[in-house]
Amino acid sequence: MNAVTFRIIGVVTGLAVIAISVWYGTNGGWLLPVEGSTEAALIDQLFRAMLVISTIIFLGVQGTILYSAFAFGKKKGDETDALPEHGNVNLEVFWTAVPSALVLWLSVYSYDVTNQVVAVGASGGLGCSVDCPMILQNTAATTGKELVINVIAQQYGWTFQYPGSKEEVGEMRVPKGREVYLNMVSKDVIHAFWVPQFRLKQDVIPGRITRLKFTATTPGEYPLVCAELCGAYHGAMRSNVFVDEPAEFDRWAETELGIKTAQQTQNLLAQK
Amino acid sequence: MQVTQDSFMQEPPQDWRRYFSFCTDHKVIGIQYLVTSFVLYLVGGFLAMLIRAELMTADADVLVNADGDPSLYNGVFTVHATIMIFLWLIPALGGFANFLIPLMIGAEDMAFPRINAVAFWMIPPGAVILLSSFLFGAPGAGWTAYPPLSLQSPVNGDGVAMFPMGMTLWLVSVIILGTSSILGSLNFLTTIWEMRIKDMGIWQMPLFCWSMLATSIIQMLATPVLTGALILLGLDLLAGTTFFNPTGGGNPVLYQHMFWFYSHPAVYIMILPAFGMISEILPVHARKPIFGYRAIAISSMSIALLGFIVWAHHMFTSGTPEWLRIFFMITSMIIAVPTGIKVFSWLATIWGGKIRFTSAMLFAMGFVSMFVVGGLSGVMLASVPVDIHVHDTYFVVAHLHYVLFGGSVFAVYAGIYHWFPKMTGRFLNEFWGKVHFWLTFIGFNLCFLPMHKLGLMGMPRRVANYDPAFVDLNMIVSVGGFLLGISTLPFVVNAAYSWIKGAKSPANPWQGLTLEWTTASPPPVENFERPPVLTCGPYDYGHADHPDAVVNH
Repeated sequence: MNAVTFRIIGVVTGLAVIAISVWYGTNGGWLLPVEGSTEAALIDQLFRAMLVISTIIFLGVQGTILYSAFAFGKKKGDETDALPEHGNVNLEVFWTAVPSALVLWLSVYSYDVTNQVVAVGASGGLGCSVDCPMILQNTAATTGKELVINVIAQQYGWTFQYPGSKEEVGEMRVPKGREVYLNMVSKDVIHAFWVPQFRLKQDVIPGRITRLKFTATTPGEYPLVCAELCGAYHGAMRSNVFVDEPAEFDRWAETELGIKTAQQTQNLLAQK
Repeated sequence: MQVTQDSFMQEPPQDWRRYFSFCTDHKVIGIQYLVTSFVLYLVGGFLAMLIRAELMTADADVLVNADGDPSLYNGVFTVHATIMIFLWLIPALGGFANFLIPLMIGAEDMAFPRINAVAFWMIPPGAVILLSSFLFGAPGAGWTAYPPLSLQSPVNGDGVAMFPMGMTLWLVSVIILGTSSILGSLNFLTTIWEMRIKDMGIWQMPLFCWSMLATSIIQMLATPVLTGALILLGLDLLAGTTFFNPTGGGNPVLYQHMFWFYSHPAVYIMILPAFGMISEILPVHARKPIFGYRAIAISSMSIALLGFIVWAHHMFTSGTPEWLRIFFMITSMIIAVPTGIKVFSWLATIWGGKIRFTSAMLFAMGFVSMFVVGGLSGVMLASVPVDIHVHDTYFVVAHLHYVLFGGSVFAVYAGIYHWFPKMTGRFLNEFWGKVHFWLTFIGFNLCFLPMHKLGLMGMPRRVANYDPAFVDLNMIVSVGGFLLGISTLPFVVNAAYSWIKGAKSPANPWQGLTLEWTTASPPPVENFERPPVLTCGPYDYGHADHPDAVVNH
């Protein structure tokens, strides 16, 4: 095989790898559950971008190994060594520079998505000391339009407290399209609030309030999973989150919780 | 009569009793480490299969007591992880370091032979203490032992709190094993730095020594932080202090910082020596110099240093402030660069080689192939938004096993097939070696590949019961897990049989160029009959066959 043919085959293979990777990465939806929140859409886009890059590298590396295995096996009776090639500066600069550029780009992209997803200090850690969780109040800097829910975790279940109601209920319902703020506390050990369809997770830590913000987009029933080991029945600490149409949510809040605050949902959304 | 190196083979075999004694010969200690840790690997693997048996169904129904309480399940995965980290990978790789470092640098023994023996003899008590915790209610807070869960006392049938014996034993065991690891690293570092033969500058050192240099620095600087954290945790548990206990004003997240300050670098303690072994094995069996020697050496050191400033990527959902999450995301991503340099250099090493498909080479190539998957998922996990979704899920379980099994364990196997003739003077059977490789490779991917999807779809880790929608994938995973268990059988039989009756090996069975191949197999007590002399670099393959080749050093 002469050098030109070799190069052509190389370029064609490279292009094929990229095409397959782009196709696989952008169709990676089968790996993920339904996109249930605005945040999920942003995170999934980032995930797909990473999946494309990863697939290119994966196919490149595995292809090189397989090709080497078939092309560079020792011939029978040949006991000599291969050509002594100790390195190639251009090649080494290339495979240092390109991954550097890629991870920097991914960092910037991830930073951007992080800002859009959790920009409200949802990560907690707001200097809240031990005194805070005793006073369950809505401390997040809100604009007044959000639905603020207190989430209480304990071994092995979740309860929820809606604004205007002192009652802790075992059912979490949120309206579609309205921003939801969670103020989360734990009564015993560390738990983690995770709704896979929202792509959001936050540890719930005794002794402090942690926060989470999301806007649900797709009505339905989604699992609420405890994602931090919390004891023997950790796996059984599962509940549900219901995403309702605004009117339906308002009705539920009024009949089940006896509160009017939630009525705002329809009005608030109308104002937008 | 002229004494040739092979004439040592006629000497009577060394007495087996020395392997059960306080022996200060680094070669004996190296084998003590390897055999002990392998036995514990089988124990840890058995626990893993119990986990997979439990997860064949969506309900907790195997590792439960009469009341259906799955506490035992938590104990099993906690001890599984603790064994695999502290009693298998760290000591097994330490075993290779013990056996190989003095031989590779032409030294007679380690710098501190007695400390070396002490370090090994801390392992068996550590193992016994850890395993005995099953008799008292095994620790169930995961190997991470996050408070306040790890501080909760178990309750008996009447609801009365009992003494937290399991957790106490776990703490004592891990503190002992950590101390052993510190002592071992002290020896590696001093030996590599001080005891190389005269002609061997640092840039003539085999890459395994470079990787152990990097590893030892991590072990010496990071392990004391873990010990400190565990002592404070123990005080909270037993003396009622409140360093980490929020009831009383302690900060549970502080523990996480201290824990991961060690435990992320610990990942590099478990993978850098593996990188080093792969850098040794690939050139020998590809008959080609390692590609980019300096870049690989420097990348080991940069991974070790960067490894100290990435720990909080385990804590992206722990309430870590925004700016810290971004900082740790960027540092974690940058680690992909030196790691990538290694992978690409290995590929370039086999490219154009004359590859001999020995079992060692199959495992080494399998290492590169599988480790890349773990590296790629690692970059995804470094990204804050993606990590927020997949943190603490089976995606992480998949990732860590691709790194520590597809990576480290494959490298340990490659190392055993490669250096077994040096250690014992006998070859392992190559046919059964290949059977072992393919069973392991297939079982491994069946077991761990589907876990990526499980995690992404919503299955958290460390659960005994899960959403029934995940049963099918879990069944595949379990089958793969059992296959992995079976895959160890041909190896165990092969190793035991070959040690006694295997074909005898000459001093240099693979025509390697590093110094350990210049002495007899197995090496005499003083390692080298005459002081070894460096006649060529550790990877100068092909120079003799191609004297006119233009060499780019």
